[in-house]
Amino acid sequence: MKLRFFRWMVIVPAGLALLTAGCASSLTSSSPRQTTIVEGEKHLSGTVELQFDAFKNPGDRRLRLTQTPMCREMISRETVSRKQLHGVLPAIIEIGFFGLGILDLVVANAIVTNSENRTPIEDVPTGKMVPCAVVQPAADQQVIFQFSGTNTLQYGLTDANGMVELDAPPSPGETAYTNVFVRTGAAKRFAGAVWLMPAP
Amino acid sequence: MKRHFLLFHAVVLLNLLPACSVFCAEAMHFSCSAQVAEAFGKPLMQSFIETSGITVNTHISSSNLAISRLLNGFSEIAGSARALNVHEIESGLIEIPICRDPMAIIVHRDCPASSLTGDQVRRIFNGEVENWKPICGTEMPITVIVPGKDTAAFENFQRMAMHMNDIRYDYMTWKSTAAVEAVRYLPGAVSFIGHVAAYDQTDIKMLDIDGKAITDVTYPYIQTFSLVTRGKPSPQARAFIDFALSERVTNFIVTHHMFPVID
Repeated sequence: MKLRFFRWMVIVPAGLALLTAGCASSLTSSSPRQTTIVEGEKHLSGTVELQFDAFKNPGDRRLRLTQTPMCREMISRETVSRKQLHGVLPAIIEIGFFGLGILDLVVANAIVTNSENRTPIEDVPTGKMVPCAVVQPAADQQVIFQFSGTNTLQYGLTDANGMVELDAPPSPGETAYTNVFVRTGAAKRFAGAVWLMPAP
Repeated sequence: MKRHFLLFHAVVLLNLLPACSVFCAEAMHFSCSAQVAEAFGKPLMQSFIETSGITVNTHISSSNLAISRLLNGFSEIAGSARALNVHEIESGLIEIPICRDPMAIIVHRDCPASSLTGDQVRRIFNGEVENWKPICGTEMPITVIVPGKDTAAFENFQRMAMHMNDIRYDYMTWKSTAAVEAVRYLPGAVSFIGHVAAYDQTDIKMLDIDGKAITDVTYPYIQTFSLVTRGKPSPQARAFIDFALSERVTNFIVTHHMFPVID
């Protein structure tokens, strides 16, 4: 009984441990490389556009327009090619007996780390726009005002300080806000809505 | 006690996981009227996604539902084919009109009529005229198909063409753009929809109204498509508004016989 216990509980596991010593590192070393695409570091592009913001001067009909250079947050995509970790289970079995399994796992892990090869593929936008310079007055910009509830448009030009005069709305009591747009070439950019009544 | 404590934290973490997938990514939730979605279509949306890197989760419904979803925080921006009411403006919603779209009176291509007067439109849609014979001389029963009462197409048509009189109909579709599908299969059918939804449909004919073609700037039934935000738009919503005002979309609007509002 004692001999059987000794055989099963000590000799067989010890034999297994000896047989599997170095297993993880040799299996990992001989494994083929596997390539995956991962996202790398984030960085900013150059200035891609200007963000305009409109603010109403309290007490009069003048609006102040500012412009903020915006950059696109980019993330680099790269291929990562490396060997895969194998033989983890036999190495764990070894640990209980001689501690050799730990060394085996460390070596196997080092093989994986050393085999890593990163190649950048492309930069893709994350969808986030980030201010990348100081806010400045939007000088000499053509501004379009569109009054709420109507399709009536008014046009104006900002001065050197980004100030522009807003004419009276077509139906003053009913116009809650005016949308402010800045013309940039053939496109327009939304600079915000300015409330003509107390904002909700 | 310790077990309960761990269980509580596990439940909290599990609840946060789906919330994170919705709000942590650079995604924008867009509730859009079926007419607006049809007008601008998938290619433009795809172009926005590719150039901006913003993922857009679009929910297509009626304008009313799209605005309701915006008000309740289910989306950052809505596309609507109707104007905001006073209550919605007081709730802080801001409407940015993008384009004006002629609302077409559509019939099956085999329908003998090619134009109607405003009065004939009213008489067809209030049930006074039930056959094409008095209009164009061909014996063919009229089947009136209307988009759902909750849609902006229905509300706009009732206001512009029917002067707020009742509309009598044979069939009603849940989605405004489904009326196009219904008309395609019924030779005597008549309906109405934002004209871009029926633009490239070979089985559908758009009728002139009072001698004015759909491309005419004085065409009588014009609805405005807008983007709506709740207060100051989020950066993603603002990028989307700017895209809608871009040269590319403006060209698309013009070439599809719509009219840009901000010009």
